[in-house]
Amino acid sequence: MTSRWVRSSGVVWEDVNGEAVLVNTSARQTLVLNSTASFLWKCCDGSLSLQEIASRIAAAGGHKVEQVREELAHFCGELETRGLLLSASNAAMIPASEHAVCFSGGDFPPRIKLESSSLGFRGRPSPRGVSGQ
Amino acid sequence: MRSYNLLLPSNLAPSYIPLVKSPTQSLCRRSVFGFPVEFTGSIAVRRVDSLLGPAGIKKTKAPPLLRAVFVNSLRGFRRRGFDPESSTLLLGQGFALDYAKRTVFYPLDAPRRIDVAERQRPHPLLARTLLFSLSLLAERYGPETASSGGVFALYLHASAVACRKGVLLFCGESTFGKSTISGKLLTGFPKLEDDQTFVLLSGGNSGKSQPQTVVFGSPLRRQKDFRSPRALNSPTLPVAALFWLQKSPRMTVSPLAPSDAATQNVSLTIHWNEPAAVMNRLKMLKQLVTAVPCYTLEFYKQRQPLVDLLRSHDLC
Repeated sequence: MTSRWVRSSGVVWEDVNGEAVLVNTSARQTLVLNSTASFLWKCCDGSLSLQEIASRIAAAGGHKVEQVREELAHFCGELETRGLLLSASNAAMIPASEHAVCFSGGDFPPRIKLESSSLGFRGRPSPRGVSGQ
Repeated sequence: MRSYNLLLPSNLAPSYIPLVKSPTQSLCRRSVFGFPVEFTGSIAVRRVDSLLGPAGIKKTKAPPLLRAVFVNSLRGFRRRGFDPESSTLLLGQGFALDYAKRTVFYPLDAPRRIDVAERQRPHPLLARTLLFSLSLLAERYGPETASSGGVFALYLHASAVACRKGVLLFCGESTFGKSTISGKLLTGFPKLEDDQTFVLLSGGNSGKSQPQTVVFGSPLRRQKDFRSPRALNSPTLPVAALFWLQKSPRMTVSPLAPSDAATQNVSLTIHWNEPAAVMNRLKMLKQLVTAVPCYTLEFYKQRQPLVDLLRSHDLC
């Protein structure tokens, strides 16, 4: 089973008040992850194993490590299906990013909070606006 | 007429030369809502000021963030590589923008004013076009590349009304009810925008941290539900709240997480196929949605229940 994951390069994202907003421009899709999923997302730079991430989440939320690991593995598989995560089995070790250090707990299990498939602009850009063109 | 000894700017490509009517050009610089813009073309300076309108316009000697070239019309721009879907040479509605040269081409055959909102003066189209161009540059290259004093412009697909607490922004895609809510339901409040609103945000340590809505027209200050002791002739007003609209049989307002508000507004990005631009827009939206309260507004088409709802939540 894959134990390390990396974020797909085709996804832009930003942390907004502890929740990650992901934009997959190729699939024209936007998603919001809850706080636990956002922490997982930030940890997915190939430097931490799923076990290590699960340990941190379990410690912060008072959950069982094995239960957390199972949820994370399932969620990573879901994100891989969507093209957002890639297996890092062959990735070189890189230092953990600053985002991955602290997790103070939050919504569990990890999940996608909001999803939209309407990314895109239709019509000709206008200083007057978009509607009614 | 004041004139400047200036030929064509040396950084204009030769293919642009035929688009300019005459080699004799007047030049001036104006601060458009705080952003220095340089004007060139066969046009008198006083006509530039007339087209810009008085609100938010001042003389400046600061280095320009944008160059505006007046041309007779936009005919021929498509042949020169400008396209409505290009993120390098954009052929927009009523203007053309060369991103790399930070130059906007404005046709002299464009209407001088446009009606955007009821019960206020028409908006000067040139000023709107310049601010729109600056917001496109900020999105394309990053807000720090199109900012003045740490302030940059963000365009929103939103209508706007003024109230005692500031400006209420109503966001949503087409047919979500932006025009309905601002024009037909909240008629007692001065309407500022119908479909596209410009917000000024400050990054870094600028003193103005409250996002500001740009006011182009002169909204009437005395409306049924809004009586201001001061005239609404300020070029900007602070943003009080942002609403994401949903048509519903219910009339409710509920808090909207900043992440959700940013997600819903990022879907309306013009440069949606440029990952770097989407990233820039996300960062700019993050600054907005974390600075003002955001709500989901479910509403149906009745005026008084909507006004009562907003008042009961102390939102207007």
